[in-house]
Amino acid sequence: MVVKILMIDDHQGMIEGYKAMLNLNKDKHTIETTEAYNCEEAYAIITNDKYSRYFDIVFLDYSIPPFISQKIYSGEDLGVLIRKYMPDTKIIMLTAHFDTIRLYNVVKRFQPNGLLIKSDYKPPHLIAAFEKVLDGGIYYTPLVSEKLKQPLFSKGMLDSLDRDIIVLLAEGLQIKSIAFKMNVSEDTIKKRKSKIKDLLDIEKGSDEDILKECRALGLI
Amino acid sequence: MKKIILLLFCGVFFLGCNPKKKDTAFLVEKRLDSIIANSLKTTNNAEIRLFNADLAYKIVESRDSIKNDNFIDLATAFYELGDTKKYLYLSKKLYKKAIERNDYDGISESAYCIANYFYNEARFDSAYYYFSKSEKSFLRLKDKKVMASYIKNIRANILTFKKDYVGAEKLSIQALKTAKQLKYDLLIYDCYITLGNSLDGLGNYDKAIEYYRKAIETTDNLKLDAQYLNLKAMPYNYIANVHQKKNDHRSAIKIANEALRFDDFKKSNATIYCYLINTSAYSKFKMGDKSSFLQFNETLKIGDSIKNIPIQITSKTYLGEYYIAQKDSLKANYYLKDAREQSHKNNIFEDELKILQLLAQINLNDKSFSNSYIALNDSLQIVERATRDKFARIEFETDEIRTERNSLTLKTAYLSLQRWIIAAIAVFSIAIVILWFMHKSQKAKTRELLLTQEQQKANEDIYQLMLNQQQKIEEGKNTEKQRISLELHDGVMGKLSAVRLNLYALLYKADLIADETFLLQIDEIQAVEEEIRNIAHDLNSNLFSDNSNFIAIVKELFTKIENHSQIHFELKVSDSVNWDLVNNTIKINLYRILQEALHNIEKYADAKNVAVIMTHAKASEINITITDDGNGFDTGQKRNGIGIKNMKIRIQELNGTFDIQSEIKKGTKVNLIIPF
Repeated sequence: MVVKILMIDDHQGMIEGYKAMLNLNKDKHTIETTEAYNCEEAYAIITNDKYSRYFDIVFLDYSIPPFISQKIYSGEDLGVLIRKYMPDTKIIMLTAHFDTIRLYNVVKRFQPNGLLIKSDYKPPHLIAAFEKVLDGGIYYTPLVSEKLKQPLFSKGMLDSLDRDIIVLLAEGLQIKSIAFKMNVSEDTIKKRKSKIKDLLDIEKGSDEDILKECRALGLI
Repeated sequence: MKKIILLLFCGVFFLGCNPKKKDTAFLVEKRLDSIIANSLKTTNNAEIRLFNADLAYKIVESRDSIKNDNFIDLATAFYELGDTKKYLYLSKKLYKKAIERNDYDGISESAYCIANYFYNEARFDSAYYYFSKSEKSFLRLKDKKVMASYIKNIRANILTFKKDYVGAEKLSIQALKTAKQLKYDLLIYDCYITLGNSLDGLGNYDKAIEYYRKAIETTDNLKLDAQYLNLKAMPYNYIANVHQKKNDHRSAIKIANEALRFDDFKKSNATIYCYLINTSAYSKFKMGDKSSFLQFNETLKIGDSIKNIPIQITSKTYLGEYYIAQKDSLKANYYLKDAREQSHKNNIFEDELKILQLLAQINLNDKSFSNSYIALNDSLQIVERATRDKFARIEFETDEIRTERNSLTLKTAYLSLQRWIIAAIAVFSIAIVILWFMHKSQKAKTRELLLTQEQQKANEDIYQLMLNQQQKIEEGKNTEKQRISLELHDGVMGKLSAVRLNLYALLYKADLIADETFLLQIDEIQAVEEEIRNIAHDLNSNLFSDNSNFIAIVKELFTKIENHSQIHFELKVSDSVNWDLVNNTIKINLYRILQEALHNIEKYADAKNVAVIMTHAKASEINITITDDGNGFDTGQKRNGIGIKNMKIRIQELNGTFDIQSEIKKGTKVNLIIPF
């Protein structure tokens, strides 16, 4: 059977690798791939009606050159887009990032069928993921499962806004800039920060302390 | 030795002498006082008084220091006893002494006595002179104004004798003013008499009578005076004489008789009696009453008995006139020639002139009388003028001296004022100079303060700059780290992953997939990927290091030195030190101290390892030890090298302490303790 895969990755080599590996699949499916090397190309394909039912699986890399005018900054945003325009298509996300917040966000936002951390799987696992997802299952690499268990997120104690704040703090933004970017008031940001501090068990600390704790927990 | 004993003995002797001497002097003085008192006592008879006076005189002559009072009293005693020569001698002696000593009290008293003597001798020129001197001296003494004015009036009287009626009036009015001010009635009386005489002399008869009347009024206040009746009566005589001059004989007689009724003057005061009788009798004579002749004889007889020459002359003159009227030229000549002789002998030139006139009248053939008259008259006028001039000159000289004195006092006042002004200016200038210096020192102090403040600020600025520099370095590092982390993440890892996958596929295709060696390599590659992942993650997570910036700066210092020397640094900072609580001044000074210490080590120690340890020994102190394994030095010798000195200064600024332990070849350890 022909499996049509949309591969979105900015490394040519990576796609070659995928292709090479997938050809080793058990069921001897024929792999037909369409490639997009950045968000803009991907956006064009995804939003094209022609392809709304075309692809079976999308291999989605996280870090790819953004398409700023459409506010597509990463694979995550593309994932959301794919769900919108290609609802029946399955998504396997591959990423080198392994911080909990990001993984959690990804899972929360578009529930990828597969989520693989690049250094975390041996090549055969790729084929296993592919086959499982094709069959309609879910394949997460062990690290991902581990990370997703993080109670702070799984129990909903830190919601998406909190997570975003933490990420922006990690990027070194001040409250003012965060408030502006998130489109909320500075007061909100301040309240969230103190909530985060409480949940992380930090009594009195600077942003630095928050980030330290988060790193220790592997959240970022 | 003998000499010393002799000196001591003399000393004692002299010491012993003096008090005795004093005692003797004191006793003698007391004795003298009592002797003189005895000579004055009116209860003693003349012999005793004279004896005492002579005794006192001997004492006075033999000694140097006699009180003024003793001089005067003794002189007065001699005067009363009739020895006018000793009176004059003693007065003159005192006068000379007093002049030498500028003793105004002595001058005034003695001059008065001398003047009195001359007055009584009718030597009015000398009297006037000494009266002037006495008056001047009295004016210099306190509370002697009455005496001075009294003498002034006497001078006025003398001027009337000399026919200077204008001068007399002037003086007398001055004296009268003072007498009225001080309410001295006797002096007021005298002045009125003198004024009456003066105006009589000037021919202003009505005014003269007015003054005499005023004199009579004044005697109402003198009722208690022993001489009251005489004082009252005298002006009447003067008034009567004025009327006689006016040829109002009836009034003259009336007034004279009025006075005669006050008392039985024939018994109480023969002189006044004679005057009044003569005046009244002469007027009667002028009115044609021949019985006046008897009264003339009466007064002549009384005048002879009381030895009063003026009365004798007057009575004889009146008798002469009477006989001229009776055309008895023999008797007239007899009396008149007698009177002329008397008046000439006694220098009563007034009367002599009148008598010569009368004599010339009755001796028409004898030109000698008229010639004598003319001669006498002329010479009298000359004398008069000369006297007036002389007296005026005395007056003028006195005035001149007074003006001189005034101008002198003015000059001294002016000079002292000048001196005050100069002193004030000097003080003022000194004050200004002092203020200026104070101002300058104040300015210097404030400048010093400002400079210290500036230095303080500069230190803080430096530290701040160092911090900023450090921060910039950190930021740079961070940016770089982030970039690397990102690159690793995105680029390297991705590519490695891709290679791994491709490799796997290739192996599969080549059927080598079962070969463990190949799979191992692929696993190896995966391990590398993991490692890269961790590194990237770590890089990111170490963006903001745990170390406080101060430590970062210190580490920088170490790095710098390590770069150009063989020294290896080790830094141990105790976590308990919270550098945020340490103020910047301390930090910068610490930094400098470290700099200095490490610089010294680099220069002299030739060390390989340096350990810097920072801890808290006590809660309020920071301890820093810098240990090196270098050559060491002899702490005994090099106590004050430049390096150590600099460190000392800085440590002192921080109120800290430090000590150095070192042994040759065994390294050096520097201990710093800084409170904060």
